[in-house]
Amino acid sequence: MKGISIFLLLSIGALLAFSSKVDGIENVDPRVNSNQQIDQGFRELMIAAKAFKSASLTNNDEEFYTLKSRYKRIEWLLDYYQPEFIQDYINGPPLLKPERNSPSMVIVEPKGFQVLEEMLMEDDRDSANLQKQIDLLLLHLGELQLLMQRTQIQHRHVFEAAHLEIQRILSLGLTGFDSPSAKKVVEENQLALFGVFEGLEPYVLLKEKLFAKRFHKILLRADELFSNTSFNKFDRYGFLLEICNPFKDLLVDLQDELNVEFRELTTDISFAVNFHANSIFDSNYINDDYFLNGMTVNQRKQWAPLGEALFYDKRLSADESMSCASCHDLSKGFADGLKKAKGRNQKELKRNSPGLIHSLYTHKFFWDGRAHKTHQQIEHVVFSDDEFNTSYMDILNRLKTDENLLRAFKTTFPNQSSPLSRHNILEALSAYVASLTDWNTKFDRNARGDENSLTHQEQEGFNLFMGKAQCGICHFAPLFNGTVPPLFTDSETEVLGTPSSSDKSNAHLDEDLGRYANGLPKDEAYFYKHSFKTPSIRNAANTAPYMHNGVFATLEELIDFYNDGGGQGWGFDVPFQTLPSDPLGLTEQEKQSLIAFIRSLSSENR
Amino acid sequence: MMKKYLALTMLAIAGSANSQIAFDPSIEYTAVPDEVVVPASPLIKQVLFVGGVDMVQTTDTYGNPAGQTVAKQWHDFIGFTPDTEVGSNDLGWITINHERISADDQIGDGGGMTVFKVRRDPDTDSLIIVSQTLSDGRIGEFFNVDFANTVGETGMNCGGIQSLDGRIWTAEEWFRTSNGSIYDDGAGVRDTADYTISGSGIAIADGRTVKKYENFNYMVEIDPREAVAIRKQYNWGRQPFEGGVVMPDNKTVYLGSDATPAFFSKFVADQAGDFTSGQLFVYKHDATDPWVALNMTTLEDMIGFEDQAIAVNATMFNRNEWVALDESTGMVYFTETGRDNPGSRWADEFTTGNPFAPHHVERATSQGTTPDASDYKDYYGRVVKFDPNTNEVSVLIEGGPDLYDGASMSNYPAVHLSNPDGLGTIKVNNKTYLIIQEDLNGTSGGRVPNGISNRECEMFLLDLSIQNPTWDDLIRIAQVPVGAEITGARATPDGKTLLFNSQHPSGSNPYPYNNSLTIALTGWDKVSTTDLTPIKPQAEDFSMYPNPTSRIVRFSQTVDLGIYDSKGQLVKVLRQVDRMDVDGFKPGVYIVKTGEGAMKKLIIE
Repeated sequence: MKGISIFLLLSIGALLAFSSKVDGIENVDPRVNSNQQIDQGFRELMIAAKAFKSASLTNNDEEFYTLKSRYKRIEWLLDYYQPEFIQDYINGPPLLKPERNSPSMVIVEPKGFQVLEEMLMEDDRDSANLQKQIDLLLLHLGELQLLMQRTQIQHRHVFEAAHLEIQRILSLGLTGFDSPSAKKVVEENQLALFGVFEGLEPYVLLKEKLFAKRFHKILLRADELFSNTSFNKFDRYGFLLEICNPFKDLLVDLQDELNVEFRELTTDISFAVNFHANSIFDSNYINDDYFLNGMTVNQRKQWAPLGEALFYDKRLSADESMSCASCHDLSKGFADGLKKAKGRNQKELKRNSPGLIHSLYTHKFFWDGRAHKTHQQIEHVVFSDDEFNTSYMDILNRLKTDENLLRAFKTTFPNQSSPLSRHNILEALSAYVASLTDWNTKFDRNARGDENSLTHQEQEGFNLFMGKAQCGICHFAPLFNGTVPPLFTDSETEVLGTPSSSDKSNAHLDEDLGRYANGLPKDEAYFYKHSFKTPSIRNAANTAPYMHNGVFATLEELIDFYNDGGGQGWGFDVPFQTLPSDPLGLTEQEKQSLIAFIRSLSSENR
Repeated sequence: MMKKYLALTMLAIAGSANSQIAFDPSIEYTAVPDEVVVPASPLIKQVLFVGGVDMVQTTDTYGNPAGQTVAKQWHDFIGFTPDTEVGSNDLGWITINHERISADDQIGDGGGMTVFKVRRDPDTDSLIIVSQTLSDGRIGEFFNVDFANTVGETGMNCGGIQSLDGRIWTAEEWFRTSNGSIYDDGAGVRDTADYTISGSGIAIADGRTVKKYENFNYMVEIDPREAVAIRKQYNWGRQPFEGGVVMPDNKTVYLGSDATPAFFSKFVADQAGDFTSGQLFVYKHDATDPWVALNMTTLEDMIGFEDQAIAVNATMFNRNEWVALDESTGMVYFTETGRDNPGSRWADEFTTGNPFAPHHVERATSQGTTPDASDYKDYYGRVVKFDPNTNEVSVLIEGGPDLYDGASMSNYPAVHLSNPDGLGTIKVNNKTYLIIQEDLNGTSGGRVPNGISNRECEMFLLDLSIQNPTWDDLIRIAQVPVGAEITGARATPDGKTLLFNSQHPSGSNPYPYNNSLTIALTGWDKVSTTDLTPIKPQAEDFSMYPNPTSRIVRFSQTVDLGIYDSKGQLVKVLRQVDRMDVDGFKPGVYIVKTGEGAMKKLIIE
């Protein structure tokens, strides 16, 4: 009970002190509390930053983690208001990246906490570089403070920031995504969570009869969960069910009760997260229209049936030998079960066919990420010499004599002068592929509390996935692909060092250059060599074999590869591997739990 | 502990009576006497050309016979070439750049251009696309500009130049340094054999053989009447081109190139209208004669433009983009789109003697640093004015407001200019306005409102007669999400129509939203300049001032607003605003209620 008492004492103390100073109505404006949290938080943060700067370069771990914990306490507000600044300068991944919106290839060096934490982990510290990074962090924290001082908090923002932080803690915090050493993950995320509680307390107080009890129960449970635990032992499934779900549920009800406007009343610009969803695993948690590139959910519904017909239509290929379904077989999770796909005349293609369920939720299509929208994705197949080997003119010519199909185009796209068009073929196909979502797997149903049927082994598998086995740091919950929460604005690719063969003794690094050679000038950066899209593990159990080259036949083989530390672990020279090269040390039982969990994410009715 | 917690709760509630947290989800609809009408916009929107849907006529290419195919997408620059032929009722030719590189057996690989001709409907003033027969025998409405068989494939066709007499150049952006990057694994330019230049009429270039990628990154002149390319302008240097202008003397060309450091260059033709021979200069503001002539003895001198600019210590800018001319004053404007942390990009050149444009030194000084330092921030970019009479550059309007420079962020500024990119002019009742289009480099530092996760880009008009304009003088005429950037804004010479490219014309039926569209906004001759003058209301009470053209309603105060439909249902909430954009609202009757409770009726026509 120690943690919780301190928390309540602190926040009540702050509120009392404030109430005595100001009269009138504003003294219960809960935004004041958030403003104070930022002010106070930054005061402590800057003190810690100065202490870190003046500490010895060879012995400053304690000061570093103190500083990071100060940051974590107000992370929910900072990351809501300045997500890009934080990515760029404060707490972005310690990886090189190309500059955004640049007119030519410019490589940006990573900065911030995670770079520093990696430097502190090195046996032989580079003190000049360390000093440079510390100076930069202080500079940028100062700039962030300035930005935050000029931010006006709205009630709606507070609720949205809280929702996003819950997602952030689950998939980026507790997984160790933003903590290379994983040393203080539990403590840091406890602070991050309690920071949110602190900010929401005044709103709860406004409607205490309805909400205080619910709120308090969550606080007490959180205190228990975060006590006497460690990175490997932390019960992430319990956190999801007993903290994330009830707290999001409370946030939705409270915002509604207080008549604080929801996001859709304020802007027409689509946003990935639906703030009405009371669980991260709700079927409506992700706003599909965000990923539909202008198509509405309603249009998707209207157009998908025609798209489904086209999906099976071999007239889309030049010699009428192939349709989309040739490589995306419904009975095989919309993959084909082959190591590498077979194209025209049974020619083996370059890569493995991916499954299509949940393929909507990405900003990168193909293993090398060369297409950014389903439209472009389809066109690569249509134009490819080894696949459909055709052109739109030819497709239109082949289809235009089919009266039934013409009628279908006319009904699907009414009031258009020529409904059979390149554009509408793409729209219909996109609508169909985008409709292949499934939020009703056994795991989803359990994770949102609809049923309680997840076995201990499956729960254990989730905990491993999100913790010790480090899967969740690339396959982000709840999509379990590379689309990064909480904003879902980007989809990542990773360098794993995938081998040419599953036979470790005879394997070398697979030669496919992946993203680096995808043809997009902005991806032609040396650290994207052998980088591939992170697919979703949803339905992975149905879409063997695995990896871009189908090198692993089973989930067991695949997990063994990760357990060994990827390509570096297998002794390959993979200078920009993004997967940690240290062995994970998973036991056989733990591997089986992981597989059980992955199976719980399989679609049952497809 | 629980007890104490609850006790405090009671205390807090006691004072909370009616805190302005929220707007009721619905209100009793009562007669509101005070009503404000937003008249229908005088501007009429028309979709002219749909990439990916409309068919273009193609020439005999790569052994494929002439025919037709679906037009390329990714529209960018727009050019307009007036039809001056006596007796012709047609207005002229519109050229559209396609900026993305893709392989295409009929159109030709690389980027591309489409051209079509329009006539104005005498009754409605709308534009009608005219059927044409070209001298190569092609018949149709939309024509692919043939590059592959004329001057060689082009790279990303982004910006460009339209001269006063309607000659068109397309700019090849993204600087190429290898054949691999244009080949794109067979999806880009498939023929990467060395290229022999012929027929350009440029002495140092014709007959020379270069690596294929070295035949990219030029300004490329095309003939819109015949839909063929004429020449790559080898004598203007090989640069990451974005824009330019031809001056009224028909000899002088000012050029913008997108890099850090960016160099501002000028070409002066020996004879008016003949750009095959002349002299290329680069700008060096601190020299006695700020235009330094470059060596043009061989083609290599032109391929090595950047090396020469560095060697002569030319002035450094931060990512120059489009260039525009105010015909009435002769002033040249260009956008400098900015780069968040340019320091490392031009520190080396600074060390070897290239000066920064003076406004960068000034800006860095105000930040307590220098432009070459890693903490120098150039988040928002700017529009720069160049005076050809004095050869001086100055800042017309800085992007911002700059949060790092003491600007207040008490609320998100209603107008924020970030990373200006596209630039053009339009004359409304003989008054010249600059058309400024954003292409955001990021979302931090106030470039998008709080809590917005994606980039959005806006298009503004700015009255060029205003001395020292501020952000409040910017008239926002469109806002679109990223991926749907508004590009290419170009006015027709009769001043009636503004042409631009977009992927999502707001306020209209979304079809065909997922393609690049060329849109005509007609009716500018019916807009008076006072319609465009931003009102700065001063009233004591809450009052509203609609502007039918910009679809913006301004308020006399900064307020929180709940907007209710005619059934009394809350449909929109705006916080801390002094204006609202009604473009997305269906025509109808609305009740506007402020946080303080003032109510007004708003009728949108």
